[in-house]
Amino acid sequence: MYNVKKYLFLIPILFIFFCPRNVFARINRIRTFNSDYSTTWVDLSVPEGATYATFTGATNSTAFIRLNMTDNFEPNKTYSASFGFCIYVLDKDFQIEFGNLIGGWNVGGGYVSGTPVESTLVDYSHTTNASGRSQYMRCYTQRWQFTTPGTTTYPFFQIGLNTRYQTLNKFSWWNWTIEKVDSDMSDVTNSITNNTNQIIINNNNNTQQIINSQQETTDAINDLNDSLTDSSTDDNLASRFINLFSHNDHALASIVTAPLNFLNSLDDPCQPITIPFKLGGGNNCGGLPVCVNSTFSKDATIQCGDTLFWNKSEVSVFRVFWNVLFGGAIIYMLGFKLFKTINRALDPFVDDINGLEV
Amino acid sequence: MINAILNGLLTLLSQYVTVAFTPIDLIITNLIPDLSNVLVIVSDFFDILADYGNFVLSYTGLTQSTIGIIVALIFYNIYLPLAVHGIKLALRWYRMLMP
Repeated sequence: MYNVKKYLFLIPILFIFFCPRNVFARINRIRTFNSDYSTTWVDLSVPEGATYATFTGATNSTAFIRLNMTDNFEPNKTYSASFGFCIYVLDKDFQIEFGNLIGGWNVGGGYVSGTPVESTLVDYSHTTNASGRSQYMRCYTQRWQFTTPGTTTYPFFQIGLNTRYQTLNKFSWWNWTIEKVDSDMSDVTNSITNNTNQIIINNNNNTQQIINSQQETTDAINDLNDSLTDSSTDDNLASRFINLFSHNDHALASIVTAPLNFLNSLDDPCQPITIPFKLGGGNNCGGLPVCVNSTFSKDATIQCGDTLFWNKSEVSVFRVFWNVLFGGAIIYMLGFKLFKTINRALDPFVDDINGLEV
Repeated sequence: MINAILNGLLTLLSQYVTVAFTPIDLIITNLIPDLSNVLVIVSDFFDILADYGNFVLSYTGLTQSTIGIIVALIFYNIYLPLAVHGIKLALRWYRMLMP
């Protein structure tokens, strides 16, 4: 495994050398148009890897050579195409007309036309083939630059040939390279635009988060100020404390927290106690010869002490003294105990809990 | 903020009681169901006492304000040691955890 790792760096190098950079421009079909005032295109398929195509049959006086590409052109893109080709005709020299069509048909029937940016005749020959016929060859290197229509779907290059009275015999090509000229820049522009929009969105989100955090901080400071400046006592603290322990989910916990629940119920308003009374058995006399058919059913209500006695106006003054004497004594004892508790709690050497002794 | 600290401390204490007693209660309920029934009866008895406590108090002649003061004092007698002890415990842990 270690030895394999040493050669992993070759993968990108191999990819560079064997990357099919020219796949886009591969010719997969050649169509020739018989210019004998016919509208029939003759298709000649081109196998992959082929560098030439030969023509036989009714290709006399071919006017156009249309080279279909393997992949579609992207719409609204500028392409730069460089290639070389040779055209062979028989019997008579010919003229080549460039600038008929290049690019591709779109759905609406439009196409790109133009002339090559560069066109160089690189080779020319006149030979005689085995059958004794004259064979003329013209080889060119050209570079085209064109912008595709909006909906290009049919990529091709078309070369016009003035081959009337000649016979197209062979077409060969090399170094086909088609590249998008402005694709990178447009992609970069789109990327920059998208990134810029995303940055703006992120900044807006971050700004909103900062605003929210600032608002939370402001609210917290306001709460702190309100808490520090609030001089009112928390009357509900005792009830809330006790209610926190008022759970009866488990029996043992209920017993432990029962004193707290009992304490919590003491300051509730008094409710009179209702005792149901029911005497007699109704019509069921148990088979006795003398049966007293009587039934007494009535609820007995025991009123609270306040209702019976303490709320009467005659004892109101006495109740005040009674509260001062009796209640004051209890309050004094509890206050004294609280004082000792505070002293004990403030002792730095005492950490035990004695509050539950109550 | 002070209220928040007090509420947090109260909640912590109540949760401590719950956490401490829950496994014991579960053990009793599952392993000793009779004891669990007895504990429930005792708990119900305390509930009855709580229901009639204010009724008894009404005959003592103490007003609601006096009773409220008494309950508050009892509460602070319970709460204050718990709070101070909790704070001391937290400070002790803080000192132990400090390098």
